[in-house]
Amino acid sequence: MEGNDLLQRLCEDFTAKNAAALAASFHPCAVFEFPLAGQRLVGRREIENGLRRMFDAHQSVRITTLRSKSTGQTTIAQGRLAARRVLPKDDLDLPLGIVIESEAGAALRISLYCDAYGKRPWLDGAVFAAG
Amino acid sequence: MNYPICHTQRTLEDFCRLFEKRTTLGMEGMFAEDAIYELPLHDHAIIGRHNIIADLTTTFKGLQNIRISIDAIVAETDSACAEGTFYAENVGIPPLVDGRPSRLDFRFVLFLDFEGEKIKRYTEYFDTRPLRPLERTRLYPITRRSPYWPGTVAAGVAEFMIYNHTFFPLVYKHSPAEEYDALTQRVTLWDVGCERQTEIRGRDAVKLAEYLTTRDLSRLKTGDCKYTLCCDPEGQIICDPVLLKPFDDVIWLSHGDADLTLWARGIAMSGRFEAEVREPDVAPLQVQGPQSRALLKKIVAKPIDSLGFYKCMPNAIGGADVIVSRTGWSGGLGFEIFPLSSAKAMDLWDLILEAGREFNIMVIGPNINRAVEKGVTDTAYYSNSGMNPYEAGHGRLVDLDKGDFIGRTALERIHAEGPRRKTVGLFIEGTLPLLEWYWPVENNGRIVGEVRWATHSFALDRSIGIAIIDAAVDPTSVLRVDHPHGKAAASVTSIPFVPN
Repeated sequence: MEGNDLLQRLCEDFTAKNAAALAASFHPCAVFEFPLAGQRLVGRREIENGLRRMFDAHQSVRITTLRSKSTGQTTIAQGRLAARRVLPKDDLDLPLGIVIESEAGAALRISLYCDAYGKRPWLDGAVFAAG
Repeated sequence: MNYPICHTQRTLEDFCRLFEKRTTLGMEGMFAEDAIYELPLHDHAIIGRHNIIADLTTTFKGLQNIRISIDAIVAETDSACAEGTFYAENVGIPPLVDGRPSRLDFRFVLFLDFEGEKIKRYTEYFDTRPLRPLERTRLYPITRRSPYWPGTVAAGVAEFMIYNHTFFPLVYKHSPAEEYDALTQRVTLWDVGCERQTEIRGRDAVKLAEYLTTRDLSRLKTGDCKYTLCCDPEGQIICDPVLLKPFDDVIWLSHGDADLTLWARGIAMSGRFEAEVREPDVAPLQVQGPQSRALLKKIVAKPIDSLGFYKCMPNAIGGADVIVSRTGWSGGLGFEIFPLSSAKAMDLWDLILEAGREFNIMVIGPNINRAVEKGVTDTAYYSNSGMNPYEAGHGRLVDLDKGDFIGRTALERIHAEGPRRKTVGLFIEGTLPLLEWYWPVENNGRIVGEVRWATHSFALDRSIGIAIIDAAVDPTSVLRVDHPHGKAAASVTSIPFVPN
C-alpha cells in the first residue's frame, strides 16, 4: 500500500474502532505517536493494545482528512479528530496533523499531531487549566 | 503565471532560517496582505500580515537560540508541508533552581498555502501540553477564592500565590513575553480579588485613616486616592496600601498581603474614633495597558476621560455599581474596578473581556517583568524585613509634621539619624533563576544586604533586581548576588530602570 492508501485505512479502521485491523497496517516494529494516548506506542502488539484501550473509553471516534501530500515514503495530511467519550458524553473535536512513513506497504511510523492541552480522554471532567 | 515547483519549499526553508535568526526582516514580504497564521499556542488565528509580523516580534522577544530541524518536506506549486522539530530556550521564564534552562522544544507539522509567491495560510500542528506551565498548584480549601475564579480557570490559570488568605492567580498559559507585550502595547485584565479593602466608615473615618497611615490627609477630598504606608510603632512598614475616598464618609485602604483590617479594627476598638472598620465584599479587577481607557469607555455609565491619575469615581458597568480608579500596578495607563458587591462579578468579568475583544485583550497576572522595570513593588518587598519608609526610598510618603500617627516617634528618630539601609536598583549579570528566597548581596566578601525582587527586563534585555543594602555601601562598587546558580556580579543603578 502507498501512503495515501495507509491514510485511508487509518481513517476507516480508526473510525470503526477496529484496533486489530489498524494495527495490521503497521510494520511489526513500527511506532505510533499520539499525544492524546499519553504515550508512544512501539510495535504492532503494543499499538493494538493501546488503541483498544483508547477505543474502549470512547463511544465513537473519527478521523477525517482534508487533504494529503506524499513524497517517497512520507505522507503528510491535514484533518480533524472527533471523539465522544463513554463517560461523560462530551465531544472532542480537534485539528489534526498526520504523518505516515511507510515501506513495502506497511506503516513504519504514524504520528498524529494535535494539541492535547487541557484534554484528558481518561478523565471525567474538564482539566482545570484548559482555557 | 508559472512558478518553479520548488518556490514554496524555498519559502518554507527561508522562513525557518529567518526564524532561527529571530528576525522579521525579510518575513513581511513572504506573507499575503490578508494571510492567516494558525498556531496551537495562540488563542485564535492571527489575520493580516501586519498582525502576523507583530506576533512574530513578540515571539522572538521570548525565545533565543532557536533551531528548526526539518525531517521531511512535500512541496507543490501552491502549497508546502513539512514535519520537523523546533528547539529554543525561553527568555523571561527563569531556569529551574537546579540550573536546567527553560526550553520550548517540540515536534511539529506545518502546512503553508500560497497565493502566487506569498503565504496565504500558515497552519502548524503540535501538542502544547508539555510547553505550558504545569496545570496548577495544589489547592487548599481554607484559602479563599476570588469571585472571578471561573473566569481565571477558563483563561488557563496555572499557578497561584496566597495573598490576603485568597488565591491570587499569577501564572497563566501565555509566555511572559506575550503577557509583557499585551500589557505594554494593548490591554490586559487581572483578577486582583485578593486585594482587599480595609473599609473605615463613620464620622472619624479620615481621622482614623490619618492615624493608621503616614501621609497627611488634611486636604483629602472625596474622589482622591493616595499611595501611602502603614507602619508599626517601631516605624517598620506593615503594608503600602492605596487609600481611596470613594464616598464622603468612607475610606478604603486597598492593601497588599497583610492583616490590615484586623490591625485597624483593633486600633478602632480603643474607643478614640467614631468609626467602624470591616472588610467589605469588594473584589477589584485591574484593567491595565495603553488601550485600557478606550476599552472602559465602551462600557462605563459615566465618562472617565477626565478621571485623573490617583482619582476615583462612582460608576456603573453593565448594571453593576462600581468605583473606578486611575490606579494600578503596571507603571503605565490603567484602571482598577471595585464592584460594590460580588453578586455580578462574573458578569463584569465577561463584559470586560467581550469589550476587550477588539483590542485583543489578554487575561494575565501582575507582570513582574514590567513592575520591576518601573520600580513598582508591593507589600512583599517590605514584609518580614524590618524595613522602614526611609530605607524603602519612601521618605516622601512620611509627613512628620501632621498629627499623631502610628510609628511617628520612631520615624522621627530614624529621619534624624538617617536610615541604616537603602533601596537600590541592580543590574545583575547572567540569567536568573526563580527568586524563591531573598538572595544575599555581598561586597568584598561581606554580606551587605539582600535582593528582594529580581526578574528579566524585556525592555533592557538583561536581568534586573531591587535590593536593600547597607547605606554605607559605595554605589560604584561591584557587588555579588549569591543566587542558586552562583555568585553573579551586579552594579547599582537608579530606579525606575525604565523611566516614563
